[in-house]
Amino acid sequence: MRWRNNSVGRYYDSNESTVVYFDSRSGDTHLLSDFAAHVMRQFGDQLLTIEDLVNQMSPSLESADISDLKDAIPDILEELVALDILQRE
Amino acid sequence: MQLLDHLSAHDFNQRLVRGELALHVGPYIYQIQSNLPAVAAGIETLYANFRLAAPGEFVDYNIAILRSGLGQWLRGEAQFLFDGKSPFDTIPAGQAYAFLEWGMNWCVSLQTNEYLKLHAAAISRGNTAIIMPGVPGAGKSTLCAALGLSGWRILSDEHAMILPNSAEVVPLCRPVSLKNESIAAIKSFSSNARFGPVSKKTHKGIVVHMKADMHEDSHDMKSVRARAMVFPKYSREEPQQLSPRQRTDSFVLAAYHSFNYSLLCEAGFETMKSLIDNVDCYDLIYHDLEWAVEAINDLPGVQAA
Amino acid sequence: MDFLLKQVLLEPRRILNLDNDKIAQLLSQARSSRLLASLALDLKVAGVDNNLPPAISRHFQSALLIHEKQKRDLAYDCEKIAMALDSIGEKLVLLKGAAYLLAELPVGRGRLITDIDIIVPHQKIDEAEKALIKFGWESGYVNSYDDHYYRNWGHEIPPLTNAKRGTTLDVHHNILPPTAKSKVNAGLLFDNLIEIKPGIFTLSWQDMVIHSAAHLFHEGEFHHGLRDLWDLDRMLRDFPTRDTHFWDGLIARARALDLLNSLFHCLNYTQQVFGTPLPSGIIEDAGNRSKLLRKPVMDFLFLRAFRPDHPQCKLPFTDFALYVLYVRSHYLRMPLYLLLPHLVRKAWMRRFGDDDILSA
Repeated sequence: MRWRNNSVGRYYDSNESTVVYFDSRSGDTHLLSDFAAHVMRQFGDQLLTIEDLVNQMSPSLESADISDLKDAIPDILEELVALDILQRE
Repeated sequence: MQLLDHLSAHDFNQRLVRGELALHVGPYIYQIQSNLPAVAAGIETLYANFRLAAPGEFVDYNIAILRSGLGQWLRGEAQFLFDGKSPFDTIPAGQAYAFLEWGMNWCVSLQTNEYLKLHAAAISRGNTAIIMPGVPGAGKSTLCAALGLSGWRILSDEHAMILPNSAEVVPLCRPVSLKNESIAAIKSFSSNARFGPVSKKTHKGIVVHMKADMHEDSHDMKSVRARAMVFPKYSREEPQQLSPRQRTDSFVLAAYHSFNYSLLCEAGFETMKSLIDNVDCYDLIYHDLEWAVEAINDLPGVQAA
Repeated sequence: MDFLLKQVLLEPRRILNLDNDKIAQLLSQARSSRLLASLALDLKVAGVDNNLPPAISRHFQSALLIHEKQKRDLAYDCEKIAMALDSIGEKLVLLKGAAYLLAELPVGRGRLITDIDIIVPHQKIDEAEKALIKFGWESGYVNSYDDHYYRNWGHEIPPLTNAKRGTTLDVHHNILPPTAKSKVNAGLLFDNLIEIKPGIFTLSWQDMVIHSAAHLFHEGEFHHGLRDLWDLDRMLRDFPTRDTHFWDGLIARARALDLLNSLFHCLNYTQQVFGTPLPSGIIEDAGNRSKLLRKPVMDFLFLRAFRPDHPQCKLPFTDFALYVLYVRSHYLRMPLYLLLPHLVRKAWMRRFGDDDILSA
């Protein structure tokens, strides 16, 4: 399965535990966890698998964190799909 | 520049009955018509120091509270009219003054969108404004009235209007709406408060409006820069405290309490971003007005009185 | 029969000669006719909007913002509705305001909408409703009399709503109720659809006009009468430039749809109120002897309806005319033997509340 960014968004990031995301397509404003926002930002206009995402995010992480990352990502992706800002292909 | 209280009582009444009373309220001009004595009394008390529009000036909102026809006299009903038509049901004449104020709010809430409009009270001291968004019952109006009675300038009780891409609050000073217990609370807080007519048994209970232009700069038109956003919450159960809160969730909460954030799309987002970036955000839990006013007085970055 | 709003709609530059009082009157006429955003865009197109002082132009800007927001929301919602209908192999066919806006037609310029109207073939209506519900729309109708009424005597199912989006969706299977005097063969409408976006369609130019006319001249309340007539004027000026044969088959098409009467009124009143340019003789061709005989009476009634719903614009007998038109519309939509029980039930429910009186 692969995912792609389904929205044209704007972020308000104030280095807090949450990030505001404005989705231009739906006109909705979402409060994302900083992690979810970080995942969103990985996409650009690429189509990515979970493997791709982990590879892209791992250089900045310790190896122990990478397995946590793998566990956490599917749920985050589900949530972003539910908000209709990410699309499953 | 002519103020409302420069008019003779006769002239004032004539203008009001004929619908020729036009007042500057913040950046707008309201033309008001009414044949109800309570409405006349309320306007005379609460808008005494408001500027009259010059003849031929463009009127933004043409409104009326009228009792017309024998039926309405007998049933004790009246009607709020905007552009000569009634957007709401008829209202009990005893609540006419409250409906005039709500009708005036309704005009600003719905008809114009040149500012980001937050559902919030705003007050200022010197060149520093504080925005207080609030859900009903949060006590924003009570707190706003108390601050107005403690030397703060009231910028607005209902609409904090933000200039696009800034943190500038555009003043829209109008009477403060007080409900039920908060009326007695304000009366015991200060003997300087002046009130309009009492509207009983409204859908919000007893409603009274307090004169809001008590400051020498009350009718100044210049915008004031916001430095803090305080989310008040009236609670007897929790300990009183002022605590910082995150900017991002303040952003979303303020957007949720906005009249037109979502209508403005990207422009709304960008203005909210400029605003939130320029303010410190706080939660204020209170039940004692004196304590709450002190807490606001002591906010960092706010000039002493 | 002239009024300020009409003068400025037809000649936007006229606004520059108005004093502040007149402009305030113009704004309130436009607002109560739901034409403020249309007027705003016409001022923009005519290049006069920049000559207005900010205190005035902010009112136009505000109406435009609402229009633009509706247009954006509509595009998003239609994408989702099209997906839902695609899941049952149906295409999305938009009607009225939603069609004008999404197709970016001149008639959609500044047009405000309150809901999204779509049409699906009658035999697919239940399937379409289920698909839409699966995709997040809700059938909010709790009153089973109204529900029963819609499904048996209506030309649409009870409105669907999307709580998350705050949108209402009206799903039609015909453009008039089956009880109406005109028997519209709705199947014909699907013959000449125009694709405006991948998977999203409108009726043909001719059918759009005929539908809009049918809707207006079967309508009981004329709060938007002037706006609806303005829609027709915009279409009749624009569509002949898109299809050089637009006028040729128009009357035959209206006759095939059993809506010639509505087309006759449409041509007559757009020309009388807005001076819409029409091919010569077309009104006579669309009319017959009895229609032409009744014309003075109908003109008396309708020319009162096609004014802003505003106290300044009332002529003598306006209320009377609107009442007669209200009764007329019920008569047109429903035979008398159905109309009476319906009005009685409506009166009953207003008196005793929305109890479930059918099962009681």
